[in-house]
Amino acid sequence: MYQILLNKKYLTGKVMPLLAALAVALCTTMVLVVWSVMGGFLSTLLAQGRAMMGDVAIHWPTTGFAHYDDLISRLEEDKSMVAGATPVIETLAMASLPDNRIEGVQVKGIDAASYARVVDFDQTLWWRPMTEALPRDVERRDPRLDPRSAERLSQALADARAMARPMVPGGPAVPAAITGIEVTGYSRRSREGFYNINEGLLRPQPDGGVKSVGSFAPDATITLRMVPFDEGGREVSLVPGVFPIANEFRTGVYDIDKRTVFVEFKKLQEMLKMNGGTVVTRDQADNDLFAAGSPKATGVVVPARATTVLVRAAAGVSPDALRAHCTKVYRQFAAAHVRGVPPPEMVESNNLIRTWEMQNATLVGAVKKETAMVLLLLWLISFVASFLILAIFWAMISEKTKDIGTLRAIGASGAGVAGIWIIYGLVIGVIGSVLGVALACVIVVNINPIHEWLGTALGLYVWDPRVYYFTQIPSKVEPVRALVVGLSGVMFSLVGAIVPAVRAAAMKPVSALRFE
Amino acid sequence: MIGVGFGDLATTVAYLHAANLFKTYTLHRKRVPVLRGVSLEVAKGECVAVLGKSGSGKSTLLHLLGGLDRPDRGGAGAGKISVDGVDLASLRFRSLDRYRAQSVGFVFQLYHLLPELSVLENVTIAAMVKGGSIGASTRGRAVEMLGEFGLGDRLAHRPAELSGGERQRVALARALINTPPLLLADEPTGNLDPATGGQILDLLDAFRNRNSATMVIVTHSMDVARRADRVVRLVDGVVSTA
Ligand SMILES: Nc1ncnc2c1ncn2[C@@H]1O[C@H](COP(=O)(O)OP(=O)(O)OP(=O)(O)O)[C@@H](O)[C@H]1O
Ligand SMILES: [Mg+2]
Repeated sequence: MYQILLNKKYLTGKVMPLLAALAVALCTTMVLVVWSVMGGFLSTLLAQGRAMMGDVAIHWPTTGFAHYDDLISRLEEDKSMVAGATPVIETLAMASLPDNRIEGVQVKGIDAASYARVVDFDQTLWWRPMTEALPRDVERRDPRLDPRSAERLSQALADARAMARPMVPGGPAVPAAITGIEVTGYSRRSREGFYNINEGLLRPQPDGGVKSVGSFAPDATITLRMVPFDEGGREVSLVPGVFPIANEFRTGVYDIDKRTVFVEFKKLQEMLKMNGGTVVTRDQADNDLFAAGSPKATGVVVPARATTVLVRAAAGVSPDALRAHCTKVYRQFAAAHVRGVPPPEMVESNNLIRTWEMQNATLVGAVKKETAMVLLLLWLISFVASFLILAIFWAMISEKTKDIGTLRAIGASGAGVAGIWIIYGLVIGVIGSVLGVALACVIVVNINPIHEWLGTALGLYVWDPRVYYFTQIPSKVEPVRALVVGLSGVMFSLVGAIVPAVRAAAMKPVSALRFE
Repeated sequence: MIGVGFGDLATTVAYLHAANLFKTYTLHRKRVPVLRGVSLEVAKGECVAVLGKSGSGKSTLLHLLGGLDRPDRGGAGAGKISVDGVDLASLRFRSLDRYRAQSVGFVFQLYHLLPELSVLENVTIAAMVKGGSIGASTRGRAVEMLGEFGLGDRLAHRPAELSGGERQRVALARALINTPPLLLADEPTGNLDPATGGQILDLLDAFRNRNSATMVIVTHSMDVARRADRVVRLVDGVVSTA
């Protein structure tokens, strides 16, 4: 095969094919690194979010809906679809943090036992005794590794599971809060990924002084001020609640860790006056907010309410399939409680049965769009680069036009001559793509150390957890992506070679011979 | 088939038969007529020398005969080339490629060696183009032939490392490696001293005798012309046999 003989000669001992292969390699590396990081970012976001928030939420904001227990048991009936369901109350609160800062947080009332069945809550609890260091914590500086702290940490873990902690040491356990690890500002993330317990933070005080505040969040308390609403959606009054912090949790999604506080479900229900019973309500005449008159007891029994029921899909059930199932179950549920619960048409038209992805559509959509945009840009760049490859091949093949004429003259067919260049493009494409994919894998797998190095050596922290949602850059290369990018690299080079190859093959032998 | 006839074209079938060939190049809208009705008959085993001034169209004629280019069609030119009874105009694509690979050995005026290949590879590639892969016997034949041509110790050299005359001999070896029935040589001794040129002509003669090959040799050299069976001249685009 003269094509192979010629390719051996053309590919070795020349700079041009090396440059072409390098161009292919760099393009594939670039696309694969960005795709892996951005795509990994998106899938981590989805996976983390799902693990933290369940697959589907049935939601009726603010006032909540009654008979959620019935809805949950109806949902849990079909074990093939639903792995578990749990009631949640979501509300907003002004939080007075242990250091006297005030921040708006999202408060979630959860029933620890059933909540843990629906989301992977337990594993997000941060403070617990550990024996194994985090991968990057080679010096074992994580305070959780300190055997002297083991007892206190075990206590914090137990408190978190019970969602209760004594307000003062030795006192009776009271309903406690679990704060996101970034909420209080006590726990500072180190570069190695663990959280330091800050010692003696100085905080300005309301009286103008400065106080050294404690440093371990599970020793502190948090005050939450919330606005309860009655079942008609009218606000009742601002209620403060002081909660000891039992533990902190970390999902890795910065927004959640910075803004979420969990409290015990029953306690929150009570505070928000959603616990039902024979309560004071207003009659219809008082519906006008500005009308005079005070609420009076009507003797009507109002059932307890929750704002959300979170549902976890059974293994193998997609969030969308689960959502369809929930919609169906909700219809049956509403039919059994006519007037007692929000009608299904309203729930559906307001899109209140949502997958996690839908609930966080803005965030997920933004990340998806960003990924798509960046990928599009990269494909465009690669497209431009393929013109570069085309130009290199064109130059290479033009330079060899005389050879092509000679080969045609001694009897090589047009297809045979084109074959030389197709093999040429293929070899360059394969070498370039393999190199590029390999380089991309090395970069992606080591992206966190590389990032760390960029940070320490050049002061360049691209991945600021305050900007991005994760504290770690996703560092997994999906084999399918590697394959797609690699094959595209080969394809681009092949196309880059085919165009001039076909032109060369179509040339009349004499014209090729006379080509200068 | 064999038989040389000048007067009686109608009854004699030559190995190579070219009739009324026209070739006009159009450059910048200016028509440059090069061949204006060339007719040529060459019998099997015959060696014809083609003489003519520079630019008279000798190389052009050889290209047409070798199937590298086509004569003009239409107009005054209804030219026809047939080789061994096959009309070249009827050959398309692969079959024309095969004609070049199997029936013709071409020695180019400017050698046209492949610069990346060694001397030996430049010779064997013709066999590869013709037959796909080559065996040790073909390689042996190429080595032997290059030895006869005085290039035995230059097998691994690149064309760039050879003199003009040496390159010409490599080109000749490449043309002969497939033992073609028809050899078209464009000034094969143009760059050789008389002694070496004479040796090459001896080798060509031997080749012709061994294989009863037909030869058309373009030349300026009277030595070559003298050794040929017949000499034709290209003058003003036609063959004159004076
Ligand atoms: N592709 C082409 N385009 C335009 N003109 C051409 C082309 N090829 C050949 N010619 C012209 O045709 C004429 C004949 O060229 P050719 O190469 O056949 O001459 P030649 O007889 O072989 O000359 P020499 O002895 O110098 O090799 C020349 O004038 C040349 O300019
Ligand atoms: Mg010439």
